[in-house]
Amino acid sequence: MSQARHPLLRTLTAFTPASTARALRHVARGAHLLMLIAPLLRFFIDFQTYLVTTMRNGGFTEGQKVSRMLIGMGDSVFSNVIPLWITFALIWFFAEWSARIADRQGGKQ
Amino acid sequence: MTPQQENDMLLHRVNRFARISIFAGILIAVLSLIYSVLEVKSSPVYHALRDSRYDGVREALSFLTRFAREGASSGLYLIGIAVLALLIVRIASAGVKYRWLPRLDDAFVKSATTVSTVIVAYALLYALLACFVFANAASTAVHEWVRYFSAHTSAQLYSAIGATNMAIRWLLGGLTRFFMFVLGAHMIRILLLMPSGSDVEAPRSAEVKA
Repeated sequence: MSQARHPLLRTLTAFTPASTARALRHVARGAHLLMLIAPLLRFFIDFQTYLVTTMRNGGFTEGQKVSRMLIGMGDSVFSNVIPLWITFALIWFFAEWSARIADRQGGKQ
Repeated sequence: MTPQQENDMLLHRVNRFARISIFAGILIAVLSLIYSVLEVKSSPVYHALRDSRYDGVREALSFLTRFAREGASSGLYLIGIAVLALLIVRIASAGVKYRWLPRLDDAFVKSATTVSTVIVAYALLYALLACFVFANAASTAVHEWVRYFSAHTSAQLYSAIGATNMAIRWLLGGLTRFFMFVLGAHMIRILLLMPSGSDVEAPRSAEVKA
């Protein structure tokens, strides 16, 4: 148990297996949720930025619409969306795996 | 092939891959150094520095900042991950069933395996793309250097340095992402394959006394 004097500090530094497992489960759940939401948001932001930039530069010209948009969105998916998904997937895996270790240390009997 | 043989083969492969990654990390750090020098030389800051508007300390700081940013964020990062992977391989190949290892249910193993597969697929795709872009940038750089050696103008020199920078940048990015993602995916696989401590029997007190 933590030896800190202040109750808030005591709460923050009380690393029992059960509290660690609980905290890690929260992280894992959050990361799992963000695995779904964050890439979609990122795609939306890229799409919006792409549209705004195109409109500022005089809009689409005939014959370029589909191909340019596909290239722009493909770049967004490849460079931003997938790496974001992978980042949250890795956080989810390591948090969940560590939570299970905490369980074995007495977090969940 | 038995699961044990598959496990051993995976460990052997990751062990080899992690060692290669350490060499790749060193290579990336050295390339970052070259990149930093070229980047500084082609930047407006360098020309200002050369005209003695700034002192030598600022020049050195500017160079070190660039090196720290490029080199530390790629090469040293990769070396760190490779050492972590080697550590995991050592633990897994020790053949000891650790009590602290987590119990993993099928649903978790399945999800984590899917994640690792996606990561490997992305790493391969990224490497392929980086290869194409690097080849394109490298050919441009060679072309620019040839033009510089025939004309010997400073504009040609900066253009050649800029093209070389671009080629090195893609090489660094491609190598780093490929090694880091593949190592990450393999670390997940090894952690999933590690023998769980659940089947380790606690020594009975009588046996301990005896």
